[in-house]
Amino acid sequence: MAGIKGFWRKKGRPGVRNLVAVIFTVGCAQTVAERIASEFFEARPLGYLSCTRNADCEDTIVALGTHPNVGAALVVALGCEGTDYKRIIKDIKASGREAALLVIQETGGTSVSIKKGKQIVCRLIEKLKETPRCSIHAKDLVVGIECGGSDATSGLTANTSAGKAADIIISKGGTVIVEEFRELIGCEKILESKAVASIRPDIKKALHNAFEFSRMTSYFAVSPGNKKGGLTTIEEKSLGAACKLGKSTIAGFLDRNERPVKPGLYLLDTVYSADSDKICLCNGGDINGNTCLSESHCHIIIFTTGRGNIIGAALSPVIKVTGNPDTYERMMENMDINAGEILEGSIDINKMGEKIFQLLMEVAAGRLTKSETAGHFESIVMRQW
Amino acid sequence: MHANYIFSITGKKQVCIQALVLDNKDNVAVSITDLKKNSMVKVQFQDGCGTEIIVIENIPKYHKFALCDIPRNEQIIKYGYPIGRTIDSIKKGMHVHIHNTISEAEVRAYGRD
Repeated sequence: MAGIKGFWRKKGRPGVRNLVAVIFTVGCAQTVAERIASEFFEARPLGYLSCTRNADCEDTIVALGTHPNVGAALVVALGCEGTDYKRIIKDIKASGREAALLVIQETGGTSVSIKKGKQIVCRLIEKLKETPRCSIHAKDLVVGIECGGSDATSGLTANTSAGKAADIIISKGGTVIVEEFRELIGCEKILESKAVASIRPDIKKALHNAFEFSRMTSYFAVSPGNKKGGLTTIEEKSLGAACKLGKSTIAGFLDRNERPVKPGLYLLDTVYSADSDKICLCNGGDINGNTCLSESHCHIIIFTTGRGNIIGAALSPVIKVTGNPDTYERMMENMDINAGEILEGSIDINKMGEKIFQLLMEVAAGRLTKSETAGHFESIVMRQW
Repeated sequence: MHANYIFSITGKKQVCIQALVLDNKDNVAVSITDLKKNSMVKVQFQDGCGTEIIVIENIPKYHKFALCDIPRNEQIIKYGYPIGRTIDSIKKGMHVHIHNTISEAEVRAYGRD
């Protein structure tokens, strides 16, 4: 197979998009960053809200600023925040990417900063047109699979066919990452039987943390919408969510802000743990989930939904797969694939998995997803403080 | 492995199917259409075999109903794995949901109440 033309990077994996990350380093700079980015399709605002300096958060921002789909970055700082924005610039530049800095307090206020920021982004986009192209195959791709707005169809159709797509990606030498440990509570035995022995203790610990977090927050991740859609307990939701893993062996375990080195199927733990060294709180829902998958450098995210989730991600194109035929009819603007056809009998799960894989490769080749055309680029780095 | 099951239903054969059983160990079926109280429902198992069951309550689309009588404090099995425990006895054909089933993880976290 000839392969798809991707965007070559000096360091790390090639990208399937060539974006400018417009990074705010404190919530005070968010509006300016968003308004700078709003004029350009290729510019994506994302960032970190807290003022307190946190090295983990800076690492995370750097990971996003050096995402394979990012060609250049503009860092928008207020000027007095704790976050070390100069370090962020330096680390992004070390990846061979161009990175510019705009400090609002030095530039002189909102309007002038927005104007100057737009000029910088304009220049960066022009320069990105010179990015060398290179072949990309399925084996080069890192694909995240996430679910949100689940109902009882998720485990019947959408997650099951996403699992088939995962099997295809992995059979071609590619990489798949699944997170959402809170929605794997009740799947202990399944995960143990699917994982290589060396990571079983990590999985066990992550499930324990997920349980403790759910207990602490009095919320076992079954939302009112999930219940209305026929899901009764977290165990039932989890068993449906685990279908996303497909048949492959779970080859690796990632902590937040870690990236897979070898191909295969990975579990990513994004749940806050009181005894962890890493300060993180990433349980605000699917926007955080997608952001974490982007931090782990997922090129594309396959997002399954029953009731109809609409979000995207700043840096990773999101493919929406709904398992519910009624949702597809109602929300066609946001849904790329109707896996609900399986329930209508017109296609089986294997073929649906192939269809998702086919679309994935087209998206890698540049085809825009519905979340991209609808302008859904939500990404936010969330930490506890 | 539950994640590996494949619908044996294809094409026209499925048109009349109203509910699915996802594993042979399951004691519940999932409706794939709204089911009316006291109606005879065509249920399909993973091996392609079918059976008929009368549902004794209205069952909303994609919700579960019992395939057999299930006593109080028994496990509800779906995908071949326990998804919770009954807090009431459930008759064959009854709606199985949050009013009569509780998560064992939540019981472990908070106790029975």
